[in-house]
Amino acid sequence: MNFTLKIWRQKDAKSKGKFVKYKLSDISSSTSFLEMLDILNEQLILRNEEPIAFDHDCREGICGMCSLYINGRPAWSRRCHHYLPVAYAQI
Amino acid sequence: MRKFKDGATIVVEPWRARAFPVIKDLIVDRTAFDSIIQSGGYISVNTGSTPDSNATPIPKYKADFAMDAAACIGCGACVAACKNASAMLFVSAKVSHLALLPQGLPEAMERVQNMVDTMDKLGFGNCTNTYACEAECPKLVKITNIARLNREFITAKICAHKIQFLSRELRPLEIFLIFGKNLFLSYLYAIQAGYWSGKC
Repeated sequence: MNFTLKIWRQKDAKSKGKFVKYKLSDISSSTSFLEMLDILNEQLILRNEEPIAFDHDCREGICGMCSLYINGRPAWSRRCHHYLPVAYAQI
Repeated sequence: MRKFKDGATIVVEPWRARAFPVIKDLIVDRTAFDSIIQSGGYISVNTGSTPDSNATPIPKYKADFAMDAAACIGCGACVAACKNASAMLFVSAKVSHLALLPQGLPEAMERVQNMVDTMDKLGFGNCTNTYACEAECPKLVKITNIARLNREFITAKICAHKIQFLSRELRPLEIFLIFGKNLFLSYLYAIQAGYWSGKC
């Protein structure tokens, strides 16, 4: 699967942030959202760019660490796929 | 990623709320939630070793309510979903799961006031019943907890006033004269819900 990502980049708490476009190709459909960000970070590091900082810990919907606002909604864990609003995006 | 269409454009942002400042890129500082828990999410007793399982009888429905509220993991989705950046679903879950159980009752009044004060101080907004938090909560915490928080809070305010300034219970007429119609109705509701006799 191919995706165009518009990701919020902000250097630190004081600097101004902006959306940056990234293109990703050949992503497996069984990849989770966080794994997709890992793949993107790997590519960024190989290109000598600053990787994207994001929160994550258990990656299975227990700890509540991962937090992303995806397409205008708070997206959360893969554990909650039975629940429609959060199923909007699977992390 | 199968939830997305192939070739889709996905916009990814951090949580947006005044109380959750961005640290870097998609990471926000959720220390505010820790501060709220520190201000009241505990009971001040040395619990000792494991007690007998039925030493403190608790009705099943209350145990269920408390357990549902305790499911909150403090992820902050409720704040991010709320147009007011209100943390009331989070605070109400923490207040509820302690206030519903006998172990949490002795400190219930101070707890709810401290936690709400901290919440206000940290810059969270107020609840306007849009239900966005309930819709996004990954642990399915119900908005009825916010109703319970409001009841707890108003009862605590009335009772704390009583304890602070008078050494006796206020009579209904006095409550009406001092606090006005709205708080008087809340007081009546509190009596009816059993809050008065149980806690004050």
